[in-house]
Amino acid sequence: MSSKTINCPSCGAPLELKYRFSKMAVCGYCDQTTYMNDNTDYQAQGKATPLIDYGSKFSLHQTITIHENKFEIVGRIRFSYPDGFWDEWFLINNKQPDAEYWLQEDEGEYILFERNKGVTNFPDFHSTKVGSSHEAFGKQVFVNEKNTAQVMGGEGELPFQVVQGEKADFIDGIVIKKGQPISYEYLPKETVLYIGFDIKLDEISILK
Amino acid sequence: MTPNIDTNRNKVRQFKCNNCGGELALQNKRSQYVACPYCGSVADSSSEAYKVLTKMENPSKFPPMRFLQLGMEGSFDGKMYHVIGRTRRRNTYREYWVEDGESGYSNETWIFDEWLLISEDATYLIIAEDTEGFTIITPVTPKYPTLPEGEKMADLFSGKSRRVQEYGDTEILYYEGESTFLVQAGDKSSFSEYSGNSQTSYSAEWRYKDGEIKEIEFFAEQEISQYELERAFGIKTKSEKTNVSTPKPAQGKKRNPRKSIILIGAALNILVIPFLLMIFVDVKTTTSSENIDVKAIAANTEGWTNVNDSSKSVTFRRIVDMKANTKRVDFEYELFTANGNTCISEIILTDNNNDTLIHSKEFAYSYETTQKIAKQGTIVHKSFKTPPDIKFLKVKIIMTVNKKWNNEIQRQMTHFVKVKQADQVYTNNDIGSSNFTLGFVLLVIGILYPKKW
Repeated sequence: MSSKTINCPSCGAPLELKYRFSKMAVCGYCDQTTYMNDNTDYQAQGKATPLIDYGSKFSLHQTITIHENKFEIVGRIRFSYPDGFWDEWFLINNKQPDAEYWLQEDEGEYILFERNKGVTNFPDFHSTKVGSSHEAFGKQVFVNEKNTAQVMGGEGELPFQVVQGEKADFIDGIVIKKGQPISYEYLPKETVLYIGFDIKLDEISILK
Repeated sequence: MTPNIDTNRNKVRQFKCNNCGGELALQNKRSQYVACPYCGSVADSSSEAYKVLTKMENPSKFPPMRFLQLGMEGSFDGKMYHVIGRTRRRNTYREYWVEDGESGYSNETWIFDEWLLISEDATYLIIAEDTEGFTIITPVTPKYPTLPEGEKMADLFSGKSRRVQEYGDTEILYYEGESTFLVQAGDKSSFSEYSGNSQTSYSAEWRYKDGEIKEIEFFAEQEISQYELERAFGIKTKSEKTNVSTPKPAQGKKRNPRKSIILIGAALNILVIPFLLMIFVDVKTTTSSENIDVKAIAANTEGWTNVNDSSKSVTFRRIVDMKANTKRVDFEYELFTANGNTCISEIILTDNNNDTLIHSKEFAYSYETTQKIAKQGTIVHKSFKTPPDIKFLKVKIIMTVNKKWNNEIQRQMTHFVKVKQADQVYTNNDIGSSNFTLGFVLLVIGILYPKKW
């Protein structure tokens, strides 16, 4: 797995970046958030509030396996919404180093998502109704949730740039006939689609 | 409230209720709110002063129904769970009924509790309790999600149209214990539910905000007996092993004992009529086991064949027994799956002479059932009415396990069964006359039973 190291613009500590498309990193020493706009442009964006430990079994830099696929946890983002909050762990897989995986941890339920970079048309957030269906990536998708979350914070490296407190709309759906959960996240700077699989905690092994 | 948080993250957070001084404990590190089970005050545990945000009605109005209480510990599938919350709900709904050849929906209300349990690894378990028994509620991701409308909804796993057994609204009356979000009395959502197999029902539940649906969730509800539940909580049980809760989803049903007695009595009498007729016309009767050829002619004794299983992680087993006569086709098979999410078995019966489809049926298994099958395997019994003029039947069984990450894994097996062309097969025994007597007595009791129940 290729990685590169930059220095934190605030404290100078080395920041090892494992994912070549990362656009944001939080320094593990001083909590400084850094935006990476290209290979040389690193902008300090202020201190991130450390995420409170709520007893998750997972943490940064762990190696885990899910159904015999090995992943490394390189980042985390936490969202809050009216029903509580959830964590999304950013995972990379050394066999598919350009792919973007997320392990969603929400109230004891887990979904492994992979970002679908092929889709560029997204349903309009405001006009889409829960209970409706639409076509996406050649499949029919049923919309089962539509809500607005707030970014509570992040750690490690992330493939997009977010600011603590920013609002993020999202639409969750289920691929009809497949039973696969999907999620559209309408982030301030881009919209992304994730396609996932329900996972039980006992299907995830922590190697180190 | 007096803050007294244990600084050790591995231990529970404890403090006293500001309003009544009751001892409160938070097991879940994610919980932000706690409703005092002694006075109903709801506090924000993340605020410095443990601010009381709202108040539930007096807890004495909503006592637990049986033995379950906050703070209890129980073991399910080898994992320890803490009881951390209880929601008392009232359903106002329409329930499907069938009686005397007529059917329709009646207006009903039902009260039940939902117990929230959390394990040491922060996974949840929900137990629903009402006056008729217990169910375990599990969220599911359906293959065929729909927003149900009216009296039909799609089967969550096969997509086929299902009769809605109950639909209506559910309202929170009371909450006690801890929660990650603010539970408020009066919060409402809507639901629709159909009955599956194996004492399991499936439901969709959705809630509105600002006049718009915000979320739809799907659940499986599997019955669990009081005996099993008491054992899970280490209670010296008074319930008998056979004291299984009646088939009852969380939303509940009302039964009229008078009607039940009449129906049982009538059924017993109807069942016994053929035996009485046979006695009068002197039909020679034999036991069924003597007349049925129980040996299946199996063209494919190798068992299951893979359709798209590359992982070899699913092992379906064998046909245990198959038999067919002019009346019934009975067969049983053993299946054993890997740790799949859900599975479906599809059984297709065709006439082997011309491949005409006779019967096709799908059986969906919930996540819980699939997990049980994965651990211990299961013997499945199926029985169908034999169509007329059939000499050989082809029975094809297809199993589809939803592995999610690996996608679906499918296996199938085909067997051929010779249909025994036996004469009429009846079993004559003394039970016939005793059934008739019991049936007659019950019928009379039912008719004389007080009409106002």
